[in-house]
Order: sequence, then C-alpha cells, then structure tokens
Amino acid sequence: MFKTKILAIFFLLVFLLLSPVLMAEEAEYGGTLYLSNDTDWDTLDPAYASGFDAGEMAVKFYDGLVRFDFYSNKVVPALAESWEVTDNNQVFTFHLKSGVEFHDGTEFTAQDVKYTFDRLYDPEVASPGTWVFPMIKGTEAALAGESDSLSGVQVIDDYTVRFELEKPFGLFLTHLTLPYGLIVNEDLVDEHGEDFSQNPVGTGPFKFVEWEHDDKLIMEANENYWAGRPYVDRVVYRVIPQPLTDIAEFEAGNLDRTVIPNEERERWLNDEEWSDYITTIADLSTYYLALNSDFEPLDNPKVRDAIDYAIDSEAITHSLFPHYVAANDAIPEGMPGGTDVEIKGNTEKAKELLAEAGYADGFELDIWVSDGRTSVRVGGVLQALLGRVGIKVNLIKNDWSVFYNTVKNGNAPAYYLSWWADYADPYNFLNALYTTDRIPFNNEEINSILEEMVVTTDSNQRIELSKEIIRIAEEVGDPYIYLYHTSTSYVKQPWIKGDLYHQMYSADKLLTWWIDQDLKAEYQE
Amino acid sequence: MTQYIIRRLLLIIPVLLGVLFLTFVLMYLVPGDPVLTMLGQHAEDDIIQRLRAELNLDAPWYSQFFSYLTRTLKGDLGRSYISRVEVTEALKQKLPNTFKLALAAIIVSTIMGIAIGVISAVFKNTWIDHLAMTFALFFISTPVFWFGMLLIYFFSMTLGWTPVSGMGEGSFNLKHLILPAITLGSRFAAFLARYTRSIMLEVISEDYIRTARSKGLKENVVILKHGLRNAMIPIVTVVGMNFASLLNGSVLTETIFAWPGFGRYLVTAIKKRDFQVIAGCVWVGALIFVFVNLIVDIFYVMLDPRISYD
Repeated sequence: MFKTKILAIFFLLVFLLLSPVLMAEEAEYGGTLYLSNDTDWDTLDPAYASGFDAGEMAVKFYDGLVRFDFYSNKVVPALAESWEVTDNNQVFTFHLKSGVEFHDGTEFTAQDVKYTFDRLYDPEVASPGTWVFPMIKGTEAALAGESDSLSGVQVIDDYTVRFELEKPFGLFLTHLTLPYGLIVNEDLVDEHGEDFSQNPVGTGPFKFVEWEHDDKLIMEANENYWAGRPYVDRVVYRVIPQPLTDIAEFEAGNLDRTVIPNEERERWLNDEEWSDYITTIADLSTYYLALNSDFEPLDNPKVRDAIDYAIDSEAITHSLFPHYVAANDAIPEGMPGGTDVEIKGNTEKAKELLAEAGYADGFELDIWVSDGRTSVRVGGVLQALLGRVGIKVNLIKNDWSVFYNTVKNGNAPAYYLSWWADYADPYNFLNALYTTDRIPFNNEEINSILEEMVVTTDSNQRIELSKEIIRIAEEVGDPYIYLYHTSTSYVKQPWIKGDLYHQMYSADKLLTWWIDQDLKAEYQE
Repeated sequence: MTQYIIRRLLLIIPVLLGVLFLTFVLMYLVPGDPVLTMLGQHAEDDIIQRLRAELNLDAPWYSQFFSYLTRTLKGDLGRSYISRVEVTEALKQKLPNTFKLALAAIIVSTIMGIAIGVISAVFKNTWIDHLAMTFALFFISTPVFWFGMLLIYFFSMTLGWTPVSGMGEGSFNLKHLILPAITLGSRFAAFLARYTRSIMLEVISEDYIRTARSKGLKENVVILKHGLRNAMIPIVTVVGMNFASLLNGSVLTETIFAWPGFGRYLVTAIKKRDFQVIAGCVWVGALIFVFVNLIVDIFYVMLDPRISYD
C-alpha cells in the first residue's frame, strides 16, 4: 500500500513537472496579424532610423550581426554565427552565417557588412547614426571625406569580417544591436537610390509588400528566413493617430494587439473580460527636470538641492500617473545600475536650503516644456510644488521644434525632458545625461568613471561604476531632478498566442507570434 | 467669357508667386529646425552642420528662395527632409483621399443644409423652424472631435453598421466614408441651413414671388423655381469657398478617422519643420483655392443669365 502511494506521488510529481510541456499549445502557421502605430514611420532605411518607430520597424526587414535576446536580455548571434574578441577588446572577428539571402535572393556575405558600415560613415549619406560606432578605426577619416572606406572594417573572406577599434569599447556588441547596425546590400541600395528608405530589402523575417503613408504598412513572412519563418503569413500595421480610435478598432476586433491609452488603463486593468490579456512592461525611460547652471541661481548646488527637496517625485507620480514608478535616480526599473537613494520630498528642508543659499524669499525660474499634454500637466505640478517654497515658476510652453532648439542650444534655464534607452545599459543613460551640451555640467570624476565604463566588459563592475556616478552627482548637487519612469500596457485579443513583449524596441521581430485561427473564428461568429 | 477666364488665369500667376514668397518668408522666420527633428537627442554639432549643408539650409535666404522658386515653377516640389519621399508623390496619394472626403462632406452638407434652410424659411416661426434652428445651433457648437468619437461609439461600436476608421480596401469604399463625411459636413450643414433660411426669407418677401403666387403657380414651384434659384448665388459662393477649404484638408476629422489626407500630412510637416513638404502643400493648396474660386465665378453665369463677364 505504502509503495503504491509512493508510486502515485511519484507519477503525480512527474505529471506536474511535465504538464506545462504537455499542455503547451502547438503554434499554428498562417493568418494576418493586425497591429497599429500612432504615427507614420519616417524611414525604413537603417542608416536613418533615429527614432523608435523607425527602428522598431526596420528590425522586421533587416538583421544585424548580433541581436538582443528576449529571454536573457543578452547579446546573442544573429547574422554572425560566432565571434572572437582579441587584443584587449579592440579586435572583433565575426564568423558569418552562410546561405543567408536577402529578400531578392542575393546572398549575404562579409562584403555587405563592410558596405553597411562604410555607408553609415559616408558624409554624403549624412546618417544621424554616426554617434554609435565612432570607436571603429577610420570613421573620422571617412566622415572628413578623406577615405571611402573604414580601415577598421576588413573583409577576411566571404564569411569572415574583422572590426578594429581605436580603443577598447566594452559595449561594442551592444552597440551592434542598434538599428544602425542592420545590414544592407550595396546593389539593392543603388538600385532603389533615393527611394531605398521606402523599399526595404534585407535578410529579416518579413518582406516588404506595401506602404501607404499615414495609412498602412504591409509585410509578409520571409519563407526562407534563416532562423525559420515567422508563424504569421502577413502583418498589417495601420497608422491610427488618435488613441481612442485605436482602442475602438481593437474593441471592434480589427486590431490584434494595441497599447492601452494612459487615461483608459484603470478601466481596462479592472475589466474582467480583458485583464488576462493585458501585459504591462516597464519602459526603459527616465523623465526629469534639468537645471542649467549657466543661469543664476542654479549655479549654486544648494539651490539645486533645495529644488530637489521641493519636488516630491512620489507625489507627482501618484497624482498624475498612478501606473508609473516614481524615480529616485536616472536608472529605470528593470535595468541594473540603479541605487536605493531616497526620494527627498521635504518642503521644510527645501526652504532651509534656500535660506542658507541666500534665497529665503525664493526667486523666479523659467521652466521650458514642450506643448504635449503630459508636459503641460507635469509643468503645472512642478509650478505648484516649487511655489510652496517661494520659487515662482514661469512655464514656457512651445512646440517641440522650438522647445528642443532652445534646450539644445543651452538657452533654457530649466526644462522638462526624458531619456529613452538606446540599449539596456546604464552607460547609455549616464553618458547621455552627464556629458550633454544642453547643460554645462562637467564633473571630472564622473567623466573618468564614464571612461572606465566604456572600457570594461565586466557587467558587475559596470553596475558598481553606475552607482558610483549617481552617488557623486548627488554629492555635487545633481543638475537633474528625476521624476518618474514610464510603463506601457498592451492588450491583445484572446486568439493571439506567443506574444512576447520586450523592453528594447529593437528586439521585437514578431517571430514567435501566432494566431489561433479556430479561436478567432469562434470569437468572431 | 473666354477673355474673362484668360484674364482670371493670368491673375493667378501673381497670386501664386505671392503665396510662394510669403510661405518661404514664414518658414524662414519661424523658429525650429528640421535637422534637430531628424537627428533626435543624439545630434552632434558636426553632424548637424553636415546635414544642414546637405539640405541646403546653410545657404543665404535669397539663394534658398531662388532655388525653391525655380524648382517649384518647374513642378518639382522636392523631397521631404524627414522621410525623403518626393512631395509630388506623397500629394498624389493624399489629394485623392482628401478630395473624396471633401466631396462627400460637401454633398451631404449642401443637401441637408439647403433642404433644412428652405423648410425653415417656408415654415417660419413654427415649431418646425424652431426645431430645425435648434439642431443647427447644436451642430455649429459641437466640437468636431467629440461628435466624431460619438458617431464611432454609436454607429461602429454599438450598432456595428460602419467601420471605425481608415479607408478600407480598394480605391473607393463608401462604408468607410460615411462617418467622416457626416463629421466633417455637419457643422457646415448647420451653418448653411441658417444661411439659406435667412436668404430665402429675404427672397420670399420680394415682389416677384408675390407675382408668381398671384399667377396661381403651385407653392412648391414658387419656392423652388422662383425663390431658391434666386437665393442660389450667395449660397453657391459659400458652398464653393467651403469646398475649397475642405480640399485643403481637415486635420481633426482626418485624425479621428485615421484618414490619410492632405491636412494630416501638412500638420505633421509643420510640427517637424519639414519645409519642403510645408511649401509643397501650401503651394498646391493655394492652387486649389484659386481654381475652385474661378469655377464658382463661372457657375454664377450658369445660375443667373443676367450676370455677364464680357
């Protein structure tokens, strides 16, 4: 009897362990996936893909040498099968996959890799992506028009390419995952000329079919995709600028997945019909108020500290965006390198600091915001919070172009802006914020730690260095008051399976998505 | 008549040159920079300078103006700074979409507006008149955005009669046109109803209407043939002007219904300071406006034989 019980428990355990495997549904091929975007895409040419929308779309048509992995958040092989790193992180030799074809049947070789990087640094191309690979030898000469080709990118044979860097760069592989590193073919670029940005031809999982600007972009599965074809036959992206129309299209069953507008989140998350089909992802973003020390009295660290105390990011987040996370430093949720520095939020302390700095009666401060609805709302709360400690805020609202022009030229005393990750590493945030020309912040200690971060490939060391920078910035009167980190809630139709969501916009190739056709038919009856 | 048309056509030239010049000056003076929009927050100064040179934005204003003028006069509207799509190609896509929407809206609003206006005038100060004018006031005061969303909620979401948004498959899809046309046309229909009513009230009190009635003509003949025809000249002017402005795009309606038209294209370009697109759109918009006006003037002759341009 005892043995039978043991046996029964054993089988039960085995069943429980195997049940996820046994119960996993088998993915189906076929069908059209209907998705949407709130704006049209500026370009589909990787060399110009400076925005998220363009980058997110370019990765559907093109592949890079490496890519971000959904599960491990690590850089894994893509068009490169393997690589060796030698000479103190300065030489990267990539062994490429053979038998990979561009959508028109042209074979992918090392020459395409060389051409992609030469093109990126061709001054006539004027790519906005030249900031990504300045560490490759020969980029400066190429940009100056002294050379047509990068000396640091060498074709060894058809399936081997070598990159030589000026100095060690720990994040080189990570930088290769950016859309600017997506591989294009010279003949295809020449064939389409100036219209190449409208006719993407890459090695990616989807082939371009049609693009009606401001209306829809259609792609179909690349049957010969080297990593196996996508499950869906087609993807139709519709351009729907108005979030409420977009969500109405979803409710009518015309979209398979969409972003829930912020104002609607509460209702959807509490809706029993939909709550199981909602996924919320923490974005890699940081929203902040920047203080420009070229303007008095912001040059006084005590005044900057006082402003930090006066602004309670927790209060802002709770009152305006209950689904976001209040920021205590530059590093967003889900990214290593952040600290447990406390959110200050102490009006009395702020007043004390202002009095110590000689501004007991406060002062006037111009805060620049863009004319987006969120910016204006946040600006209003900042105005109220700073008003409590005697700082009279003049909100200067302008459209994005004027706003950014002013901020970029260092003419805004204070401004509300955000940083969104190009890749998931704290260096991307800290370097962008503490070495910008928008504010005159220049701390030698931070700069030298950033230099260290550039070189090291040790992720633990990078995390420690990141924390160190945040600590030093705190000590010297941080020019940034961090406000909040955003998140996005997606809702999908019940018939959509295999849907993966990733924090990095450039990682989503829709390879795992599939449509349960029977379930869809059942729902639509 | 032919001479009149030739004279009007010749007059279009200085008007369009003026439009070209004013557009250029405005774009030149307005703050903001397309290069910064293109490059995003990573923009480095040398890249900004290089791209400005590439786009000829660093040249002196007169040199930029003359190259813009000569290209435009040759019919080359250039390429968008941002998307690098030829503006002419983009307009070939957007204009037919806007034309469909504007035409549908003007048909709906003209029929509704004139009919309600005439009925109101005929039944002056009765409950029919009061009801019609209350509705007219309601539609004039209704924000387009709210009304469009309301129509989507009621007809698309609740009743499922019409699609939510977009243009649908194929070159013409009537079902997709209904809600945007009603949204776009409702305000003008209301305005036209009030306008037609007041014009008709004036006309009905004229002596020739009394004469027509005294001749024993049927009331509908008096109203439609003698009354409405004489009221048509100011009505046609208003309809024509409104049609021309609808052809220049209707940003709100196009945004609510994800309609890929001229208005959205222009407003997006303004936000991004995409000067080539702005210039191309304003130039084509002015051209449309001027030609529609000319056509309206020619219509007058057909409506009223007493008008002669010779």
